[in-house]
Amino acid sequence: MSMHEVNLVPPSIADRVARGRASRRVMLASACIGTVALGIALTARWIDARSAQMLAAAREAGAPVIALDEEIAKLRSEQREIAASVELQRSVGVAIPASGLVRAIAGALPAGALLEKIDLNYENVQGTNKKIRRVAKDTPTTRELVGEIAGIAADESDVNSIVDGLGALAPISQVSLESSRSREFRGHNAREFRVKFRVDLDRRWKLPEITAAGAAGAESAKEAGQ
Amino acid sequence: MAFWRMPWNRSIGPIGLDLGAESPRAMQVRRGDERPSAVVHAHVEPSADLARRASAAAAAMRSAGFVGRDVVVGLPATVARMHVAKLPSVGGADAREAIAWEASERNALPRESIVADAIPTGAPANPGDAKEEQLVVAASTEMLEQALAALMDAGFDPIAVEPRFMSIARAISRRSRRDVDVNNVRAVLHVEQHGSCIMVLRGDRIAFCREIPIGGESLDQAVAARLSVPIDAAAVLRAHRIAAVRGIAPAVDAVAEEAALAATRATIDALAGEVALCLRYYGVTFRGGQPTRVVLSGPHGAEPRLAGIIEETTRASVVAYESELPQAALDAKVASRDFAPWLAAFGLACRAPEARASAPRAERNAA
Repeated sequence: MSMHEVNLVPPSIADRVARGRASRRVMLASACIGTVALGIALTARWIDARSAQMLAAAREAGAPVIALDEEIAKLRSEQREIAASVELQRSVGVAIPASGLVRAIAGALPAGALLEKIDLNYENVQGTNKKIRRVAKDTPTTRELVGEIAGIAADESDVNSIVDGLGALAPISQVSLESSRSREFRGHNAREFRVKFRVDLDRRWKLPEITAAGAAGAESAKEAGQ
Repeated sequence: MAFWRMPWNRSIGPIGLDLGAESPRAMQVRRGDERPSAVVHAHVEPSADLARRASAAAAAMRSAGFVGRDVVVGLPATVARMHVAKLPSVGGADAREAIAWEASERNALPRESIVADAIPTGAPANPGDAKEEQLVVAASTEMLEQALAALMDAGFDPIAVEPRFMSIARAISRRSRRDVDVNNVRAVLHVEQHGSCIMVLRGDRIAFCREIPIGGESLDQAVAARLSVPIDAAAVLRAHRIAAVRGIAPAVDAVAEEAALAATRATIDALAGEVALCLRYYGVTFRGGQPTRVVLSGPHGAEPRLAGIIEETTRASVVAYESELPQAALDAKVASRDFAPWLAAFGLACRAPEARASAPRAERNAA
């Protein structure tokens, strides 16, 4: 059971009370929203500042690592450039310059030997497309330099010496004596010879250095032979 | 003062503001144990009108430790006019309009200038009569607006206004709110300075109410005339005697006591006679016999020999109001040792939140 209640609040006062309550609710909601927004803004600002500090600290702490990384990246870039150059060189270039090879062959000749002919042909190298096309695609092709020298030696031992000398040169392989026959040269018996050899261009070779003294000796021996 | 009601203050009820007391008094109680949590009373001139009382009370309340803005205002009998009328048993806006027109005719005031409400007394209706007896209460709209505007300007929300006798009935009925308590019929005699109020309560419902123009002021005048002393001296003597009866002051001189008893006897007899007539009217109207228990309350309810004379006149047992109140209210330290002046404020503060704003809202919705 509840007591019957009497309420003598005039309608104007009741309306004013209701309006005041509604206004306070709106103000309270606005204050809450504003407080939440301010809190979010301050939190975001604090998080941003904290992140910036952490980033700066990480950068400071990781500066050597970053420098190393940058250097590694730079070296890798250079490595890629070099590799590309090497690849380009391997694809289009010749590993052994012909002049050096001729100089080495000349250095390997015994005294009194005379070269009449040097023939050097590149096989499977860029620019020799006809030969490349004949080879099947799946067959590994070897870039090589096929050479042939012909000349006159004093005797058979000199011919053997020439063959051995060529075979001793590092780049040269498959040295074969194609022919060796007697011949009269300026009133003397001599041996005319023809030697073929191959040089593997895919391998890296270091030609023997020919010193100036050696070269001068060879010149004098040549003159003496003449 | 905290206008914003925090979640941990949900158990605190509205502020009960008694504008009809000698000085406006405000109280706030905790729901549940109904222990007063804050009290304040403002000092105003006795001749101050309702708006000035409200302004003084608002200023005092702002400096006290109240929580929230909701205020339930109690009006003095001079502002809230009361009468009994038989009205059709209708509900809603029609009933309120009928009540307003009835109050307008009874008080000879324009309909637009009064605010009126009513409660059914529960008196049995005559066979074939479609009307029911209601206790109609009305007040001047202008006077209420001025007083309540003063409260609102101070930041308070007057959510309910009711006459003081209803708040006194609510305070006295804190232990009789169950359905079965409707059989608990007792009379309440509330003696104030300027008059008294006799009510018959059935449970927590007011079945009968009447204002009696005999109060502490009449007793003061009687003592002053008999002892040939000023009114103020007579009032002090009576206050001393009442305090002695309540055990909070030593007994007065035996000669003065005897003289005061002789002086007040006629007035008390007149008051007791009025009470007896009211109880007899109730017994006839409600066909259930007279109440067998009379509760004395109010600042002058402890007048010496008042209880005895009423007991002799009405042949009913007389008890003090303390027996009807929750113990927590009496034990509260916030109120003074004499809880009687705070009774109306306590009843206003105990007004249930569910019912406090339902009537005007229903009226607005119906409109």
